[in-house]
Amino acid sequence: MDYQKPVSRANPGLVVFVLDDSASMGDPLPGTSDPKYVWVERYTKVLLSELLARSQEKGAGDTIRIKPRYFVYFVIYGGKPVTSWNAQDPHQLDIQSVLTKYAASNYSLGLGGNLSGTDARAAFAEVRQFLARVISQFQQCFPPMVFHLTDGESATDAEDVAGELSRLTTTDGAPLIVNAFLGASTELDYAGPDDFPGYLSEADAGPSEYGQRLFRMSSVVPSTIRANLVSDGIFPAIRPGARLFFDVRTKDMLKHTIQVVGSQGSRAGYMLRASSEV
Amino acid sequence: MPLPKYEALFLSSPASGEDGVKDQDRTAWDPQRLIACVCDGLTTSPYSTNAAEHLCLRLSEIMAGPQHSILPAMHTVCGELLEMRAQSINKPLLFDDAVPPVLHEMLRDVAMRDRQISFQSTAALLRITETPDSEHVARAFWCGDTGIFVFRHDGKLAWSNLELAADGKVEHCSITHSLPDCPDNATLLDLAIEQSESSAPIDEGASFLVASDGFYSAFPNCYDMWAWLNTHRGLLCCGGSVNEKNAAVRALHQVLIDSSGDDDISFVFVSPIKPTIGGELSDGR
Repeated sequence: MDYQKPVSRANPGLVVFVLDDSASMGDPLPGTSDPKYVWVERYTKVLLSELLARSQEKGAGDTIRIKPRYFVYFVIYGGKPVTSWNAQDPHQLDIQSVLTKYAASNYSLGLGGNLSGTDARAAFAEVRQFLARVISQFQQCFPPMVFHLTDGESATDAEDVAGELSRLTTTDGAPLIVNAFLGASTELDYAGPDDFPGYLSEADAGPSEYGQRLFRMSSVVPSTIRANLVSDGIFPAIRPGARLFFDVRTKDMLKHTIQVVGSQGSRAGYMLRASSEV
Repeated sequence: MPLPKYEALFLSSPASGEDGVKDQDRTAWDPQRLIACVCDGLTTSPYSTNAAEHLCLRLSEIMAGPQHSILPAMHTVCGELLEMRAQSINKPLLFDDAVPPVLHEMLRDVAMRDRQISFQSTAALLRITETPDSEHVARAFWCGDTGIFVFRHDGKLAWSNLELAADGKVEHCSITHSLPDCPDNATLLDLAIEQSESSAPIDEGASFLVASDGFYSAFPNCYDMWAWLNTHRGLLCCGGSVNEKNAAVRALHQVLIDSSGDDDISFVFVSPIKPTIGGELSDGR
């Protein structure tokens, strides 16, 4: 039974964000005047807020309490990966602890396009190390989702390291690798999230060789995730068998792509709430 | 020719959740007026159980009224839900002591956003009645994915409000009225009023099922569902022990647990009383 587990307090979802914060992330996102990292921060806040929403419950007397259903880890990279944003104790990676720190940091991950160099391989090696350390704690859970967002070609090739992540399985399958490629220009013809069909072939992800590499690194969308993306209206036209590879041409596409993170797990009890506009 | 006598088997079995039972379904059966109703509160909508309860009670009353008054009355009920929502928006927020104060602002945003979509429930109603020219009809109203199934005497499906695959499987992705179409400032009931009314003549021996998605999702297709209902009717109604009844329902929950996760299971199954059973109208749990 692959990719069928619901996300729950007993079996929480694990999300690893791998965020490129190299200098080019300081350039404006196409069609906007704000830098790319600003948009990533905005939509990450929307997503984290959603994960918090799914972890809140009503206690006695209608009081709001938090029962974490998600664990979150950040790898922010340029020439080398930075993990200082995370707590050292893996038990402190639950959504409440992460958001407590996040809120105290003025709702910012501290992105700024400040890091020189782009070493995706080192970033994925950090992910591999982290998952190897914690995967035993998530054995009964929906597999971890590794969400990689980048805007340009890495100086190094992360493909084989990303492939090694598939060995770090839970009982419900191998980790899912999602790649979001900002500013990419590909062969795929679509207007926006509503008609985005997803990438089925490497040729569609070209002509950029880096785009094709990211396509190869990306997991095939499991049927549960696809169903969630369709029913939530995030990517209603995504085809079965598409890879979790997204070229991000607009801020709207960026918003929807980041929301892919919230599609983890079978949906017996949850549905993505309508996200607030930014 | 007078309407045949009908009996109903109805059941509501809450799902087990992380913190107790889910229990967001509500059912009603009016044996005098032959009205069946199932409402399923939306998990993501705060106070949806209250909405399901309110709808079940009010809509059953409304269905019992004259035909021309049904739609206006449903608009009234819709207004009642919106009023409850407005009141919930104005309720003060209280935080558990364990929630760090730094998260209050974010949670406040989440809670206020949620309250904007509070009091949402599906609803499915069926009334078996007679037209002025003595035609026997089943009249149905519904919104959301709660199912209404009309079976012929031989178990073949005569009609459903849901889109079914050729093999009778109910596909969640192919439901006639998809939830995302619901505007944020409306309750789901609006959709029922505007889009989802149907009536059809009744074949002799037809039986009727109003069921939450938890129930029909436990079967590979509607024919197996009909067979299960007929096989288990005697056991669930009066013939079985408590343990046997529980085991039968637990088996359905297990199917859900093994697929996409447990859910509340509710249904009202209405079938004509066979002459051999007796002439009195009855109902059973």
